[in-house]
Formats: sequence, structure tokens, C-alpha cells
Amino acid sequence: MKKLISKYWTWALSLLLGVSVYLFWAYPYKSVLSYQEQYQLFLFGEDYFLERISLPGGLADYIAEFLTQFYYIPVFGAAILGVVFFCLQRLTWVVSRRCGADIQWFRLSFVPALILWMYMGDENVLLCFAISLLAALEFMLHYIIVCDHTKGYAAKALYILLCVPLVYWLFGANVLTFIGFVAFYELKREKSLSNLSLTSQFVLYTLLTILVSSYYLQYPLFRLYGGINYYRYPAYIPFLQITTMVLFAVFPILTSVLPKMKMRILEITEIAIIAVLGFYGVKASFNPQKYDLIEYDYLVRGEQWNKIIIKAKQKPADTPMSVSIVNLALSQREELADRLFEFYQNGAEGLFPSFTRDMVSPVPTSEIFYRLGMINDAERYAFEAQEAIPNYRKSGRLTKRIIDCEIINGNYGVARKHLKRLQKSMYYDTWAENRLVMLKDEKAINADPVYGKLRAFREKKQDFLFSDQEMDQMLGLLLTGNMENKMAYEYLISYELLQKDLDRFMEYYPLGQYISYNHIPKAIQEILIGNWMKTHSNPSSIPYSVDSSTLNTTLNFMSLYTKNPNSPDLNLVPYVNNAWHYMLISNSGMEKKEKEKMKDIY
Amino acid sequence: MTLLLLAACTPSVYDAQQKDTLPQIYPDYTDITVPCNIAPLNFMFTDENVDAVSLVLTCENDSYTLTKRGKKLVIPIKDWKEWTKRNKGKSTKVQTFARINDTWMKYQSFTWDIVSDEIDAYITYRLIEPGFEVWNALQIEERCIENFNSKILADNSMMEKRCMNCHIHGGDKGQFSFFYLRGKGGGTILNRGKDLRKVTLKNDQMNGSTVYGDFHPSGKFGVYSTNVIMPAFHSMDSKRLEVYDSNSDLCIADFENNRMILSPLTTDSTKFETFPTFSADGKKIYFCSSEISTPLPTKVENLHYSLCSIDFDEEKGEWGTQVDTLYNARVNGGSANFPKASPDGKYILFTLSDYGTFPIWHKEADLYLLNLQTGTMKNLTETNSNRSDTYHSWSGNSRWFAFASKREDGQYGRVYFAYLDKEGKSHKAFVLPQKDPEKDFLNLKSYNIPDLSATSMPYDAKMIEKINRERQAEIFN
Repeated sequence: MKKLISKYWTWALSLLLGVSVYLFWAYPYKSVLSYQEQYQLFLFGEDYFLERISLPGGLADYIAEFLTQFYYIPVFGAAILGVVFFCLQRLTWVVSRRCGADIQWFRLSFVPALILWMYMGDENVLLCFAISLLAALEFMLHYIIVCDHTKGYAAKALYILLCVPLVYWLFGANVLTFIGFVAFYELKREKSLSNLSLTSQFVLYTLLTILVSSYYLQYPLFRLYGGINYYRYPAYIPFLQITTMVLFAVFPILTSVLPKMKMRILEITEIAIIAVLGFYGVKASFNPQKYDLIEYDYLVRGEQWNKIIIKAKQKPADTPMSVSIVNLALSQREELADRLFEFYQNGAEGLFPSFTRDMVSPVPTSEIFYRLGMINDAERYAFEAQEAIPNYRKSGRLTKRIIDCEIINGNYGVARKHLKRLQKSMYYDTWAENRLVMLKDEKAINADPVYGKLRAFREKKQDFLFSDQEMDQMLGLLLTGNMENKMAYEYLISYELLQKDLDRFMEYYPLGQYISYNHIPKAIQEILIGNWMKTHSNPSSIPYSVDSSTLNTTLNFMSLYTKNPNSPDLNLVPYVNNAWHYMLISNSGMEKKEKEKMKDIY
Repeated sequence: MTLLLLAACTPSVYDAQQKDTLPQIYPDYTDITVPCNIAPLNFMFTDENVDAVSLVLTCENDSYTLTKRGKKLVIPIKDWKEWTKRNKGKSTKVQTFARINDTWMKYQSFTWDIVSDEIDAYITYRLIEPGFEVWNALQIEERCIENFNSKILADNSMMEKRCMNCHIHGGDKGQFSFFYLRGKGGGTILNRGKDLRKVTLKNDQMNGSTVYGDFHPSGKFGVYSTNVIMPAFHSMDSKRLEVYDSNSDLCIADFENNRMILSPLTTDSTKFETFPTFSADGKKIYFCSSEISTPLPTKVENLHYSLCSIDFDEEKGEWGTQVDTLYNARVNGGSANFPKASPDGKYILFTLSDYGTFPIWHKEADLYLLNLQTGTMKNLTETNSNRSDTYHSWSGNSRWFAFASKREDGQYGRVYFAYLDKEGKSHKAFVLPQKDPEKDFLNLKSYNIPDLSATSMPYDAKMIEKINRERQAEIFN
């Protein structure tokens, strides 16, 4: 066994890295995989391939998008990342070893991969970067092989002559990582003037290759040198990307110059570096607030309403996006008017977050509009989110939602155009095929449980213009158009409550009698009790069907509040969850929603 | 041997069953009038089951046959050019065949009337996804109508994703042009045949940036509207986007003296004035105007624009003193938009929609022709569709016009061309031919504001990027 371990321990450690990466993304961070998948849409077909390959780094981009589509199923995505990191570390070590690194320093070969892992804590880092690093490592290895098996300068010069344009075009700016390694490798190998001159020419040749390409490509020079498809925001090259590139270029040479020594303290130091980087480094590089929102969106995508509520119970949602998702989850469980005030509320923003020009927050808001039956607004938000993807990619998830809206609205020509594209994808093709068949059968669309219901809900009689300041009026019109739209009623009532507009609440809440309730929702009961008690003294005269526990809690709240509005008891359960706590104590909802501002329009 | 192999690969039509319907093809190229200098009219069958197709063109004693595997009929450009050269001024009969489940179908034939009147060889348009208010990739592209060559004139991915719009030509050959680069550090890119200029068409007295505009025939002046544009979003399925002005006036730019010329008649605070254009001789300015008498956006359906005119004195660089109304929307209903005077001075082509000032999102928007000699106006029913038809521009010989139409699916604008014969009768429109006929079927971009030009523009996206980066915009007073 000991012999086995001593023979394969390096492989076992590499495998441990791969498995760690797999577990990391398969479990706590699987939502990130969904996030990555939903902001690209890989299509099979010649046109798509040619579109990608026509730019530097196109093959890496194509491979990365091909692989990223498997993130649709998180375990596949995590496995892919596990393999990528395993290969990166192994190749780093193989190259280091060929450069002369001692086995003693094997553990350090995890450092570049771990730095990359940390860098990938930025959700805008694309897999393309990792793929192109793999390619760069492969070409580094082949360069060493060429040097080891040939004499003189001719072979390696020929190798560089051919490989630099090839690596640049197929894998992009990581050709600089490759040539950086070559430069360090040559400087270490032979410090003669002639070799220095040759190495300088190699570097110059690489820089010129990129420069020449700029005359034929419509991209700013800094993007060609920094990589077109490595980062989602095209106008920005992160510092950590440059650091990672430099590290991969110099690491094999650095380890090769470290002395051969077998000291226990060194082993412990290596392990400590790996442990710190691996655990604290990676942990610190994944911003918990950002990933919280990503996870909320992931749960919406999977319609995991219970998990959303459990998540919010564990840690209160406090941003417009997360609060709106919690409220959406409550509404999908038909509990919004019951449990609204069990959760943190931030005014009407928590029902309909203000429109922002980004690719993230409009996605769940689109979901809210869609489920309400506000189909045009749902499509608008989905469309805008897709348009806001900074690197011009499409989204399978958002395209599906746009198609849903077009089908519901009867715009089959537009739906067909999008469906034809989705037919070329891996995970949306079956759905697209089914919808294409459906387009020929109006009855099938009407019979579809979702399309049929939303067609019944959507506005059909009275056109009005969207106004984010008059959501209650729009919800009212939606509800009066179809009194079976329970979600519209709950949102309408919640909107008035969150705006603290009790006059309008009293105007609208009676519409609940037309909705299929077996009880008056708790939040409504609390307001009705409190309102009644403002003008009456005897609770038994309350004309509403209220339950005793709600009655008692509300009466106790009123009593406590009357005695001392600053009583700390008011901030404890159950009073903190009472509608009157929000009305009288919370500062939320005081600011009227700022009107959506107009910016430049085409 | 090679010929034998090729012959074996090419399907041949036999025992075709006669169908009494026209073929289902994309784009719809049935019974159309086309200019003799147009690119090949490639098309495809839309039936998924078609696996081979054939086309037979006949004209008097001349004929041409093309048979292909698949669904697409892509005519070699050389063959097409020879055909149009031999048969211009005549009607070509187009007979199509399609093989479905090993059986050839012969469809009803249709015609292509190839007229000798040429269309301007170039057209520019903006490629944009028909969205709401967020834009992403924008490109202004110039396409040669005589073949399939194209070049990008401006690309916002090279310029901080800034908005770009309204590429408009001027001059008798389209040798002048301008378009906007919006946002901080942007300006109007002005091409008057010499150096490209970057200018700011605004002074302190103006209350907005210039938007719609046109060149004076001399190229010395441009007339513009200044619009504060607002979007609004409809709730019903049949409608989508409404765009209205919260403020709009007119101004003239004197390009040689870097000054803006205003008139109280066209900066009236009680009216919206927009869509200005010069007459063919440059002595008049046509524009659209509406009273500001309705709360916006809630009553946007009450916004009706009339078609008006005012004189312009080129020598003095002065506005006229009287506004005339050519189409009175208050009396006749609807809303007139986007007037364009024909280069021969006979007509004004404009769009009429139910209301408002953004016809591209009004499905009822149709093209109308006003005869300036007789004062008569007519709906170009032969050319219009049941979807939006607007954003038109004239060819230099006044026999052709291009426009954007959403007739395919109601959402994606495509470039259409229509013939206007000597009697003033318009013909069925046809879409800009593509090398791959499926291109526009899958294309998620709209072709925005197509504008014809006889000549190619002397710049490309790299030049524009350089100008944008290096030059400060010239100030106008």
C-alpha cells in the first residue's frame, strides 16, 4: 500500500483537486453553473462555428461554449470543471517537471490552478480563458519537446513561426502566456547573446502578429492583447486575469530553479500555502452577496418556491431582487397575502423592482410579470436582459421566455424565428420541436395549462401604457379582466399595503370575495382588525371573519404600541410579523417609487 | 468524367405533378417588378419536406434553367446579370418545381418584370435588434444592391457601445451623408465629400439634440428636428412599443459657417415639429407638426401630425415667414410622418398611421404619395402591407423607393423596394435579395431606416472609430 501511495500520490492529489472542484460546483455553487449557462446559447451548425472561429480565440470560445451548455445539468458542468482543473494542474506540473522541477515542489504546482479558481469567483470570467490556458500549456510542453529533441535554432524558430499565429487565432491572447513561458525558458536555458536575441525576436514576432491582426479586425488593440472572449465585459481586462496569465507563464521556470531539498518544514509550508489558497482564498473570492442573488435566480428558474422561502427564513432577503423573489415564491404557494409580513419588505420595490439595464435583475422580474399575465412586460424584461448581455451572446432561458410570450400573444412568425434557432441547441431542441408543432394547432396552445391560463389572464380589452408608478391600476385592470387571477389580487393588495396606502387597500380588498379563498388572508385580517378598532372599542363587534390568534396578536400589538411606540417587544415575534408593524414602525415604503427614467433611445 | 459525376449529383425534373397554387417560397418574390441592376433574386421553399428544387426562367425565346438539391434556389450572379441584361424591359416568366417525397411538383408560374429604370446601387441601414430601450450590438451597414457586397460603416462595439443612428444621404448621387454617435464625446459625423467632420449640431437656444434630418441639395445646409424622445410600452398583444416626443422643434445647420438657424415658426412651444426634409430644389422644407393639446403619454392616441411646409432662402440662409399645411390631420385624421420629397420634385412620399410619431411600431402605418402638381394623395395599396411600412427613401431617378417593412412577422423590419412607374402607380414591393435566402429568415436584427445612395461611402468603421476617438466635435453657434 505504501508503495502504491508513494508511486501514485501525485495523481491522487491531482484527482483530489478535480474532485474538490467538482464538489464545489456540484453542490454549494451549482447555481453559478446555471447562471453561466443562461447567458450563452451554443448552437450546432456551420454558421455558428464560422462566426466564432472568425475571431482570435475563436476555437477556445467555441469549445468553451460547447462545454458550458452542459452546465444546464449541474453535475455535468461540475464534472467538466473538475476535469479542466485536473488537466490544468497536471499539465502545469508536467511542464514544470520537463523544465527540471524537483518532485519536492509538486504541491506548488496546484498554485496556478488555485489562482484561476479564485479568479473564477468573478462570475464574468468565461470558461474560454481556462480552455485557452490549457492550450497554452500544451504548446509550452511541445516547445520543450522540440527543444529537447533538436539541435540549433531552426526547429524551435520554425515551431514558433508556425505556432504563434495558430495559437493566437485559435486560442487568443493566451499566446502571450505561451510566448512568455518560451522567453523565460530560453533565458534559463542559455544566456548567450544570440539566444537572447532570438528570444527577443520570438516575443516581438508574437506582439507583431497581434498588432497586424488589428488592421483586419474591428477590435481595439487592448482587447486583442487581453483576449476578446475571456471576460464577459469586453471593455475590461481584469488585473487577476493578467496575474493568472503571468503565473502560468513563469511558474514552471520558477519551480525549476528551486533547489532540490527534502525538508519536512518545506512540505508543511507547501501544504499550508495550498490549504490557505484552496480554502480561504477561494472562499474569499466568491462574493456571498452576489452569489446569494444568483442562487435566488437559480431557484426561480427551477420553480423551487419552498427552497426560496426556507432560504429567506435562514437569512432575510434584503435587496429589491431577492425580496421580489421571496414574494413571488409566496404568491406561487398562494401565501402572499397571508405571510407577506413574515419577511423583510422594502416597499413596492419588493414586488416590482425598478427596471435596470443589466442582464440579471430583469430576469426574475420578467418571471413575475409572466406569471401575473402581464405578457408584454414579461417579454420586455426578458428581451432587455438578453440585450444587456455584455458580450452580445444570446440566452436559451430568455429566448424560451420570449417565445412563450410571442406564442401567448399569437405572434407565431416571431416565435417560429426564435424556435428555428433553438432547434440547433442541445438542451432546448426538444422543447423547440414541441412548440413548433404546437404553432400549427391553436387548440393545443389554448389547451396548454400555462399558455391557456395566461391567455385568459392577459389584457385583451383595454390597451394601456405601462407605468411603474401606477402598478395598482394595472393590476386592477388585469384582475377585473379575469377574476380568477388570484396572483393579480394578491399583488394588488400587497402593493397597496407595501405602499402604506390604506385608502386604496380598503377600496380593493373586497375584490377578494371573488377569489377562491377559504379564509381572509392573515395580512388583510390584521389591517381590517386594526382599522376597525380605530373607531370601535369592542373587538367582538368586528364584522369580518377573523381567526382568534390573529385577533389577539393584533389587539396586543395595538395595545403595546399605544402604550409605547418604541417598545422593544414590538420588534419580537409575533408582533414584528404583524401588518401594523410594517405600517407604523418600519421605514420601508415611505419613499414613492422613482419613475423609470428615460435615457438615450435609438 | 467530372461532368458525368456532376450530372449524377444534380437532380432532374421528371413527371412533375401540376399544382394549382403558387409555390410557398421565402422571400415572396412572386409577381414583382424589379430593376435591371438588382442582385439575383435568390429564394427558398418553406416546406420542410422539399429536397430538390428547380427554376425555369423564360422570356420570349430565351430561357434559363437551374436545378439544385435542397430547398434553396441560389442563382449564380453571372448568369443573373446576363439574364437581366438580355431581358430588361420585358417580363420574365418564372416556373418553379420542388421535389417532395420523390415526387416533383410543378407550381403556378409567376412573373418578374425587369424594368430598365435602375435603382441606386447602395443602401445603408442600421442593424439593431427590435427591442425596447436597451440596445446592445449596433452596426450601420452599407450594402450594394447590385450584388451581395457589404461593408460596415460604423460599429458600436468599437466605440464604447454608444448608440448610433440615422445614416442619411444627400446630394444628387448621395455623396453627402451624416449620422449620429450618441453619448458623451459623441457628435454628428458629417460627410460632405471632403474630410469627415465630427460636429455638435446644437446651440444654447435649442432644447434638445438633433434627430431626424436631411441635406439641402447644395450640401451647405442641413435641416433637423430636435426631439426629446420618450418610450412607452403597450399592454395588449397587438401593440408593443410607443415612442413619442415630449418636445420637438426644427433647426437648420449651416455647415460652412458652423451656425444653427432657428425660426419662431418652427420652434413654437405650442406645437411639436418634426421629420423635416428639403424639397428637390431646396426652396422648401416639408415637415410634420402637431398641436400640443393632449396629456402624454396617457392620451398619445390623440396626437395627430399634419404635413406642412415652409420656404427656405438658400442665399440668405433664412427660414420663410409662413407655414402652409399640405395634409391636415385634424380634418382628415391619422398622423403624417416622415415626408420625403422625390428628386424630380413631383411627389412627397410619407407615412400615415393612426396617431403618434413612431410609425415603425404601428402596424397600420402605410405609405402615401402626395402629388405636388395636382395636390392629390393616394394610399400605395399595391405596395403596402397589413404591417408597418415606413422609413422610406427615394432612388435618384424617382422611379424607385426603398422602405422598411415589418410585413414578414410584425416585428423584424426588412428592406423593401417598390417601383413607381411614369403614371405614378406603385408596384408590389420585394425584399432586398440575400446571397443565402435563409439569412433574413433567421436573422434577429431589424434593418432600420434604409437609405438609398448612388455611390458608396468613402469611409468604414475603422475610420469612424478613429474619428470618434481622436476628434473633438466642432461647436456650432
